[in-house]
Amino acid sequence: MKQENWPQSKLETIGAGPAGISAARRMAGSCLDWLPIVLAMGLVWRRRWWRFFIGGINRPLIFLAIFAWNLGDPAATATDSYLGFLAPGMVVMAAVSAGYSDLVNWFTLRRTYFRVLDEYLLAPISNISLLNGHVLGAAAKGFVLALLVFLAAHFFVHGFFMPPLFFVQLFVVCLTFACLAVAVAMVAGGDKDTLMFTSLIVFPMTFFCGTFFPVEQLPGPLASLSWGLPLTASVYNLRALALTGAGHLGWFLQSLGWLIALYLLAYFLLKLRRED
Amino acid sequence: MEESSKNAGAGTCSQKQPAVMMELKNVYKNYGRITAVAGVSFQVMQGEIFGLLGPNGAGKTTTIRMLNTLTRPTTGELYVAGYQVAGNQVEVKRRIGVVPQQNNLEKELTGRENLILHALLHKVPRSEREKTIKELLDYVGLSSRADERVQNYSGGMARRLLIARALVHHPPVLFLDEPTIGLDPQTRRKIWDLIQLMNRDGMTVLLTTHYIEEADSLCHRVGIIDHGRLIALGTPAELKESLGKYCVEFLNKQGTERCFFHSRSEARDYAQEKDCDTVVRRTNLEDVFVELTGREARELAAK
Ligand SMILES: Nc1ncnc2c1ncn2[C@@H]1O[C@H](COP(=O)(O)OP(=O)(O)O)[C@@H](O)[C@H]1O
Ligand SMILES: [Mg+2]
Repeated sequence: MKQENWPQSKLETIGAGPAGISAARRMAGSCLDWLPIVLAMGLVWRRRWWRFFIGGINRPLIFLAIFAWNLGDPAATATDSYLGFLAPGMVVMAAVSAGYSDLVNWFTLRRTYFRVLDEYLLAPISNISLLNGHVLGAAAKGFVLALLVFLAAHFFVHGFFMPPLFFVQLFVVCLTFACLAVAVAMVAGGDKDTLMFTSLIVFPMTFFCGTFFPVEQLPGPLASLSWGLPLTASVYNLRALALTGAGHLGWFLQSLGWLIALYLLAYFLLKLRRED
Repeated sequence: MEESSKNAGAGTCSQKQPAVMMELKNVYKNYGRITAVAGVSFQVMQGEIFGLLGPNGAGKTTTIRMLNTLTRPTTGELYVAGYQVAGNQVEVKRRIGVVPQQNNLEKELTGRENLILHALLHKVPRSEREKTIKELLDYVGLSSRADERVQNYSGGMARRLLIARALVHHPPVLFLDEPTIGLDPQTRRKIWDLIQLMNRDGMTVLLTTHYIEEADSLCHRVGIIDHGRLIALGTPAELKESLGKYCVEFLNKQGTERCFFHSRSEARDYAQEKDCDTVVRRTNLEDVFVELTGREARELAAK
């Protein structure tokens, strides 16, 4: 047996109590406390990257391909073709499915099925870092997959603008839906509940919130309802940015408002859940 | 480190008073109308192996989950490694290792990757990470299978990896929830050895079990818990003595009956008076357990 291997000295220093690390270093460290979660998610996702990759972008890419081949216009430009209209919508769809769906699954599977969630909850970081880590990890993945769809769209259509604000707006969408995912996962009792919410609310959102056609074409009450959902303003702003290079401050602020609201909701629900 | 191997037995080596590493003060936990833990108080000293012994549903897991920050008590105070758990969750989590009742490894990752994951979550510096993980894999005897996916591990291997994982950040306090449940006898012995080795190196261990011989042979002190209440507390020897060191066992119409005596001669005299077959033997922890839980059941029924 190799009992001598056990590093006793370490045990002493960590066990020694609060004198271990200086307060200043701890402050600096806690700003990056979310990082371990992101790295851990990265480690898990790396193992199945192709599955997440394909799962995240196949639907938007299929829609793009269907419309591209159906409309059959090889010289389509961004500003005056339906494909140009559609592409930003598909970018958002990729962001939502990669950010939201995967994070909801992450939580519900880990809580009900694998029970790994405790391992993450036992990391010595605060609830807020726990939330930030999960949200940032999922949002980053959604962002990357959405960008891939955007790149692929260039294959069918040309003439998109890419102002920096486009990427900011896209990341805001990713963060918003990651927050929504945490909120849903904290409320739902099991994977059946989340599946229900996802297919009843989130999935239709990716179709009817201005992704495929302007919401004004929806019947009256549905159009106003659509503007009350978190996706519409971001899709409109993203499209404006990609097609004209200029955004719309109102829409941007609206999507930022949704992000803040859902972040607070997610934090509140996470905290509530942790007090069980 | 050389010295530590000479000082076998953590209890004997320290001149100073051993510190209290865990404490529960009148802790209650309700889940709706179910009371999982009903007013438990006890202390665990530094360097101890403390066992919570109780049947299924007694409240052992709930007690551990309150100590390790995963569940909040309804009322009562808990302290771990000098910190009150409420309000100091991060400080407590830094100092504890947790081996859960169920295998909760990331099944798609390899054994080594599971340890890396834990090291990331606990911010083990990169420079130490590889060395520590290599040592731990040796320690639990999984080096040769470390790069296989955890999916393919047997129950015993998974349990050993869970133990290794709990040690990656060198916690001074370790919680093990039913560490040997569902394992074959050989593997169970290996886990016991492992727990004793860790304890010899100064770690304070709180484990739960419903195997009586596990509590008897492994734990320095045992708390017997039933229906969420601590019904006995002491060293295995103390608990047996409280009942009487010797037991006379015989079968009558009501079933097996046991009587306890403080000396062998008393026991033998009593056995000779009986006109049925009797067995005289030393009291074991199971007798204590059965006697106390039975007594408690009668008291509850009387209320
Ligand atoms: N999350 C929970 N919700 C409701 N009841 C629970 C929960 N966890 C445990 N219980 C109940 O609390 C009691 C004690 O459970 P537990 O602590 O798991 O016992 P043990 O680990 O000793 O087998 C049981 O009656 C169990 O049904
Ligand atoms: Mg249990």
